[in-house]
Amino acid sequence: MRITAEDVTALLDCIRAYFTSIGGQKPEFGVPYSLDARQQRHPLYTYSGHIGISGSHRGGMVITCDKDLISGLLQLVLGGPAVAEEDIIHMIAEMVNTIAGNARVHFGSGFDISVPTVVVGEPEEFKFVLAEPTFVIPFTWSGHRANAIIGLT
Amino acid sequence: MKEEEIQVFIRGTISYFEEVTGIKAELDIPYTKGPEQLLLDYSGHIGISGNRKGGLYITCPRPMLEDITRKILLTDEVDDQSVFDMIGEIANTIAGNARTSFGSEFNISVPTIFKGKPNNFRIVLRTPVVVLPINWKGYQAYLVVGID
Repeated sequence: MRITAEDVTALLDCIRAYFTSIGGQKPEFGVPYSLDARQQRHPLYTYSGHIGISGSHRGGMVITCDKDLISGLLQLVLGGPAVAEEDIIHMIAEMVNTIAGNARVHFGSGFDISVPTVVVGEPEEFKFVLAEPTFVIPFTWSGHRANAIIGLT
Repeated sequence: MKEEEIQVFIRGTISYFEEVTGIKAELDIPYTKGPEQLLLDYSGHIGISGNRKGGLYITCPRPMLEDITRKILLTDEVDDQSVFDMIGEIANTIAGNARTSFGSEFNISVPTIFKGKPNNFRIVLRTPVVVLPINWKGYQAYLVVGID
């Protein structure tokens, strides 16, 4: 089973709904692309929230961005800037958890999601195993770059 | 995690190395992880959902993964791809073995693999996070578990 155009559209809707539901402006999406394992540069930014997916599908979803995007979200949600690293980590975990949770409406209730794991920093390489092709959906929010990455099998 | 649940991962890890390589692994005393980076050359992460929620990762030095790969594939030639796949396979098998104790609703995702340990890179699991230090043939690796 591969990710279909409908699946990608549903994910775009979930990402858009996340930002608008907290009172933010709509994100602008770039052209999704398939992540080639031979690519020189991995698509991770400084903070990445990862959700493992099991049940009806197996794979994972990542939302990755730099600190400025999450600071902007915290400003919106809390009315003030992020003070602690823990705030940043909790916020990106909450973001990927909400987006993946909303994706269950499209993928079905058998789409089981783990709690988020946050990755800080950029490894030399990363890879989803058994979940190729992995799709990268680039987007910007309030001028800040981010990627949604999903690999399902 | 309860003590008997930690034992599940200890037994599963020992059993993995013995069954797959024929050589037992020894585990040091588990401890609760602090904020320090705990990464070696390659790390395989599994997300857990269903009746328990969280994640785990195993992190190993490359020479250890090369050694395991040589034993499994019966070859002296070990390339980057094989090492990459091996860390995912270890994480997947150890998490899969835990299902026999946690039940069929203990759902595991496919592995995500990370290579490298840049200074600013860390994997943040749900706390409290338990570290199981693994010794196999003189190599030091770590199984790191954070589940509800």
